[in-house]
Amino acid sequence: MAENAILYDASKCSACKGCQVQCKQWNMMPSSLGKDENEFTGSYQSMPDLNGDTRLLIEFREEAKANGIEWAFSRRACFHCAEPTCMEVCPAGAISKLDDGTVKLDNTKCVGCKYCTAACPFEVPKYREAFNVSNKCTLCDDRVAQGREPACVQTCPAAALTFGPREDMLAAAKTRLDELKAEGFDKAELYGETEMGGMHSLFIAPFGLEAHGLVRDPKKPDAIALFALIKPLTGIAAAAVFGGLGLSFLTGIGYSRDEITLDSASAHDDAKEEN
Amino acid sequence: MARYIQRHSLLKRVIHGIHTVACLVLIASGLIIFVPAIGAAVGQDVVQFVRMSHRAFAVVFIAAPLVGLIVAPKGFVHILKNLFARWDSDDKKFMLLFGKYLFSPKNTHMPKQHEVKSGQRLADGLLIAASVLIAATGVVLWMGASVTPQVFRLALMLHDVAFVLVVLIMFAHIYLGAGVFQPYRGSWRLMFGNGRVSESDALYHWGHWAEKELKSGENVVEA
Repeated sequence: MAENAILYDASKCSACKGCQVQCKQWNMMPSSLGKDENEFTGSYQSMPDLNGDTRLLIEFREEAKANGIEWAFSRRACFHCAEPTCMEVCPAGAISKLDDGTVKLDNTKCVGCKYCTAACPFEVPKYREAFNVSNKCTLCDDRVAQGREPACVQTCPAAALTFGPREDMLAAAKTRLDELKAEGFDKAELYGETEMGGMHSLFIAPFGLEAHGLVRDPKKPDAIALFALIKPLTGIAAAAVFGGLGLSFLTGIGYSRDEITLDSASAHDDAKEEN
Repeated sequence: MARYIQRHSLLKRVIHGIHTVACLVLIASGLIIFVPAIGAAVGQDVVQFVRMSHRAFAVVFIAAPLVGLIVAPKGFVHILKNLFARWDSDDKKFMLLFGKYLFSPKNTHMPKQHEVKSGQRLADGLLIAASVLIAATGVVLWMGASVTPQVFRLALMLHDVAFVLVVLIMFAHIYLGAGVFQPYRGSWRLMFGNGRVSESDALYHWGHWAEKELKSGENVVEA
């Protein structure tokens, strides 16, 4: 099966948040609507970060320029890495990689341990307290399986989101990148082609990665990378200790000693001293 | 009439017993989380049950020694004093000979020891340090969403490192303490029996301590 990918073009995004709303609607994720339930972010951004009920967030980064405010929008959601560290650490087998490259978190298997959040270089999976599970974008695998686009893509009025075979998305992204550079966006970059083994959510960043809050050259967190070392070492150490003790047991077979008393031990000590 | 020394009190044995059960359950349940393939194989319901039981037994694991500290503070101080006791020449000699002793007990004469052997002091110290680390990081992991992913990640790594240490030390502790090692045969009774050691075994294992105890007679029982 061909690998699929979402392509987000921040240069086309109007930050209408339609994708954010549609994601919530399709996946039946509630919004906090009560008074003071949403922390004020100081911008048009809905909330400071993804949360247990929010799989997709449009971020607003603004900079005051001579001719007014310039915005760098970002689509914050799971990048669907080719080498997902979240999947490596999941103790319940709740995270799997589908044939099309989607990294799926099956919340019927999730135990809410939050290891995936700790392992993700982008800290994308978030804990959904009410259901004791982690939550993140599944690339609408249910829709894709029926030949449909992910909900966010379908609703985007600016055509900033497209979905299809990853190869096609990459080709389209490169063409668009050339256009942007020709238009004077010197810092424009494509994110996701090679990062984390190649992501299935590509990002055209017209103002450069940092301006859009993207992690340059993301890596598996050191502490998580150590797991890969600790676990086999543990097995080797345990086998060595077990084997060593087994050998010790074998060499001790037939061991016996005479009963001693304080008097006999003292006499033995005295004799030893005299010699 | 045979003479015995009362080496461990009932309280100490009960706390040790509870701690042993908690520790073994924690190791078994921790292993399911430590190796994701096992978790994936047994399924979500089992993993969830194991995670919850891991927390329940973690409370026991942390609370048991604290109860000991509150109920018998002097005993706790006594344990610590033994742990940090100055090493004499016999202690050093014991450590130098221990490797040979482990693989050739019939031909190795070990020096007399004080109440806690030098090797056991080292192992106990390491085990206590690993237990404190695993308990502290376990509490952080339990807090979960209340801590940042960075803190959670660090706690997870240290929890795993401590887990490995505890497992390896426990292997050796059970081998010696339960008397699987032939010269230690019968030593399981010290913690899981009546807490008494025979005069002969006491002189063999802890010569300096046994001599003092037998001479003072305070903890000597004739049976």
